[in-house]
Amino acid sequence: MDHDEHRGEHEELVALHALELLEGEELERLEEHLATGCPQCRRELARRRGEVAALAEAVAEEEPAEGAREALLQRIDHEAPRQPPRTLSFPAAEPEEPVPAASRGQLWWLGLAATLLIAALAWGLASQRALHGEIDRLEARNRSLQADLDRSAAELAAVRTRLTSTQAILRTAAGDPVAVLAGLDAAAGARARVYRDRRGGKVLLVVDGLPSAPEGRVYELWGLVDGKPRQAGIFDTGRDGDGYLITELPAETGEVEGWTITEEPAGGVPQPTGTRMLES
Amino acid sequence: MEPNPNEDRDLMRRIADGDREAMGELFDRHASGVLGLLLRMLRTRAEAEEQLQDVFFQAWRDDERYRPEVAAPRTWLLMLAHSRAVDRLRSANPRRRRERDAARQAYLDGHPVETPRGFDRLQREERRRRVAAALGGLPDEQRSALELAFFDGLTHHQVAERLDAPPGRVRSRILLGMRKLRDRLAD
Repeated sequence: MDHDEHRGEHEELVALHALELLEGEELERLEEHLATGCPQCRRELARRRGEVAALAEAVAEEEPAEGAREALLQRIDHEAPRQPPRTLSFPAAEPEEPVPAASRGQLWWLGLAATLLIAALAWGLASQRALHGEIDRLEARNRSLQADLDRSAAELAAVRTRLTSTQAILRTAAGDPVAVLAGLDAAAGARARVYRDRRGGKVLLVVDGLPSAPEGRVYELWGLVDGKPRQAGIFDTGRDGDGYLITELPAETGEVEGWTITEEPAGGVPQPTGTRMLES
Repeated sequence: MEPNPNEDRDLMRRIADGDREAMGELFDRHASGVLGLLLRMLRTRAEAEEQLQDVFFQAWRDDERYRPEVAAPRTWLLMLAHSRAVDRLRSANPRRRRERDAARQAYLDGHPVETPRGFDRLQREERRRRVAAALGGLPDEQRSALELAFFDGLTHHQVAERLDAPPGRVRSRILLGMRKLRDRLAD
């Protein structure tokens, strides 16, 4: 796509792309064009992204939970001990090649798994037995993912070690589920468990055997309180049908009588409208 | 503490040298701004806190991707947070996330992200007030389309569905809204 011939169209696509709104054929077309290195469009995109970033400043700040900083530093110590020091040049005279996405990106699920385990631990889920099944599944998932991880054996070994140690910690801290959900007609074979921390607000949902939601759809968890569904968060499952959701219910929420998972439009909806997939 | 982009860049330099305390200082300075955005987008505090950890962890792990000549550290962190939240809201699969991440980075290389003129020099609260006022001053139809796109992570077709309007019209509203916002922030 020649830039000058399509200038107006480019500007429009770039502005929409800065907001991450493009999809399908238009996205492919613009990405193809950007990949040619068109300086005008790259500059335009950087400019538009700056404006989009400014939008983020419209939101009131929120203080992180107590201990969040320490949790970050501990995670850094455990999961990403620093490689040999480098020196950043300011400004960088010679742009470096970006790290190939595949080498680090393929560790994403392992990172998620470790995060899940740490989060559950931090919330004080008590005793060990009930999550053994999920741990075993995570280990099985790790093994299948590891077959795909072909670039960074050393880095992968470090992740395995960290995951194993995290699992060991979790085995001493996991609790029984407060509810078990079974798949309905639309998701026969799926099952899920809901765990809550002792203070009641934090919720961990672990799902398996549920195929990924179709394009543009997500799964939404509902807690039934006084017979009415309360929104409890959205999630999707991976290729293997496993999924997780870490969420919370407002402190004033009464006793949860039951749990339901429905399929809804991307972004979720305030009241359930879609097919019921699992129920406790 | 009011963030100073130059001090932030010093922190990034120390982070590049493996100084974890510098990461702690970066967290002190910007975690509340990043968490505010994540909470607005993801709505549940637990999920926002989880993503907050991931954003800063990613900033540490992938710090070589940070280019001081491209964006101020706060802008970079907010962009990371927004991208992660959009992926989360759209339930993008890991492969697609990796592709998008690589694409975002590739296109940014060497081209500075330009926040509106003078914007970085404003105090944090003044920045918030100014953007909120500019956003609030847009016609409702433009503001709601922009908010659904930016804060709810919807694609423009999904925005159109939500607003029960033709996609083409929604697209125009978004583009017009961004253009007005740009003019107002540059005033």
